[in-house]
Amino acid sequence: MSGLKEYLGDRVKVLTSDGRLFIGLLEGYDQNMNIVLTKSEELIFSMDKPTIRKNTSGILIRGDDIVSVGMIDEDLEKSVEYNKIFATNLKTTKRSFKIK
Amino acid sequence: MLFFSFFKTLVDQEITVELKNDIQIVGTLLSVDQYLNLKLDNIQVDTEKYPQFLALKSIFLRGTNIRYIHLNPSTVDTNLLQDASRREAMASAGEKIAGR
Repeated sequence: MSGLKEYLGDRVKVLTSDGRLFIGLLEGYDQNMNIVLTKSEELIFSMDKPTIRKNTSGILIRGDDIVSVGMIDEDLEKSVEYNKIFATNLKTTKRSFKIK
Repeated sequence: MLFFSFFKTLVDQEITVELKNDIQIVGTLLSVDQYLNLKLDNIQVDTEKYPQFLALKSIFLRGTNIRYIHLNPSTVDTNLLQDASRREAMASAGEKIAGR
């Protein structure tokens, strides 16, 4: 699980299996890939409202529920205008072959 | 362990990963671990559709959420892979007999 080591202390975007997105400083992680983010916020995307940034200050995410952890390129991130973005929520990764 | 070794031979190659939430990510394979968690660099995602991936360059993907990995045929030595899988099957059959 050495993979997350080089992200420690950096701002990361964490995608969870229910399709939500969290941004925060990667404070730590353990062997089950549970991770702790500080100065965190949740970005809520929707088609009829611009992106909402919801402050969560600090958050622990269970490793089971993590889809991806991405390192943020700060320069690029600054140029992103979230208040102009409309998008659908991501699908869940659970029972992905089930036909509804 | 076979696929772990196999993916280690693909490091530095460009691959396409399809997640269980239907998102496709193209990127250069940086590293892989025993759980087949992947690290990709220089990723390309359809950020129009999935702004969640904006401003990300390097990403860590949890193996359990990966559905497919698309490979370039020229990067796969099928004969070597067949050989290796036979050897692994033989070895594990041997272990079962020895373990009785």
